[in-house]
Amino acid sequence: MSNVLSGSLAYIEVINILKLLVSGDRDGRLLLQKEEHQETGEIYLSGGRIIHALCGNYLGEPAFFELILWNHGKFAFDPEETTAQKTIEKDTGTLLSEGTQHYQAWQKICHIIPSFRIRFKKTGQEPPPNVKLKGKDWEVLNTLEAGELSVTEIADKLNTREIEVATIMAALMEAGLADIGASGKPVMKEVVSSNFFSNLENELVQIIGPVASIIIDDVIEGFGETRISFPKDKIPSLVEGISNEIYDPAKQVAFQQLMLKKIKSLH
Amino acid sequence: MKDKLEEIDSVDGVKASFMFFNDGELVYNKLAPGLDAEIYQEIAKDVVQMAAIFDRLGSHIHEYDLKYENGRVFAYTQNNYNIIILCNPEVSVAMLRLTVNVAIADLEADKKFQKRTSKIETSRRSYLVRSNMDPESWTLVETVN
Repeated sequence: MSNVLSGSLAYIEVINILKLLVSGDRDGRLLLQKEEHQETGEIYLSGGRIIHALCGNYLGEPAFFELILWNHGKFAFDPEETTAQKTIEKDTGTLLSEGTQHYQAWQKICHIIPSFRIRFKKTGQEPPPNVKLKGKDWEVLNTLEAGELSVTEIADKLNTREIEVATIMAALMEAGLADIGASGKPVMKEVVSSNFFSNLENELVQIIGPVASIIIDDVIEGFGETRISFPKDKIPSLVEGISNEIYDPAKQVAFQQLMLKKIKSLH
Repeated sequence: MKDKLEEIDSVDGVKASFMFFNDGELVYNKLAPGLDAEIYQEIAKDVVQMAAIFDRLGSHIHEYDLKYENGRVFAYTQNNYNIIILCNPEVSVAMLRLTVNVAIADLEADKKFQKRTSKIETSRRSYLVRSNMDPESWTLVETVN
């Protein structure tokens, strides 16, 4: 195996890696790996065209649209891994343009639905007068009649892409028609605000300089999380992980003192 | 000192904490349900003896995490004093460690505390004498020797 391009998805989006490979007319395989679930996905290119993708049970475009949403884990591009399979017929330019739109759509809802594995329930409320549900919206809502389901489970039932279900679910939640289920609540941890990370970074820059941001992201990635999805209850472990990167004991304690105050103020 | 123990006690999952100086003084805020000061002394003696054995072996361990079926005991052994914390099994270890690190730093920066500890012997050897040990522990110490 000869990887010419590899790294962490915490620093670069899948869509941007693909744009780079496409613009270089590359042949090969982009391997993506989520560490916490040991999940992998593959996207193949031939002469700068995206020709094949696979991810779990998905093949072709559904796999492609799933993989471009991955924002943590590792990637590696291997020019020697090629394939004769062709599961994507769509023009690569169009595919990348649609992919960018999907990624942007996901970014808008990921604060409401941070994971496809959280289960949702129907609230039983009637749709507000200003909300007009379409056929697909009703289909998604009706799957919750039988009990709590996750985005992944609903997508499987309706044979639809997860991002489509997630977008509908976010709208249903905003309309008060769906909510996070009891079984989903333990998984749906309260996440850290972006403000917290800005403060953390500012403090750490004072102590260890400009590498602060890289260290924070490395430690976050070590937990299999991102800044967007980082659960509040893991903050002490995050602080501990970052502290271990501060080699001056006095500065280490000063950082811990400061962070302990901030943690207490969050409760 | 007690205010620092109070901070440790406030961590979710902590039942009680106490401090044990190498000269035998015990400081605590509250007693954990079902325990009394005598039991605290016993726990402290066991911890210090364990630390003394590791000292003798040349391994200076500062954090001990003892896991039991119904709880965990954390012991932080410093030069001449020890902090012992009785916890539920599900205590947030990272939060506890962070709180203890800060508490130790605050204590050691405190003039009164410095004065108190400066008079105490740093060696824990006196806890490894036969008269201070049960026969089983003494056999273990002899093995280490």
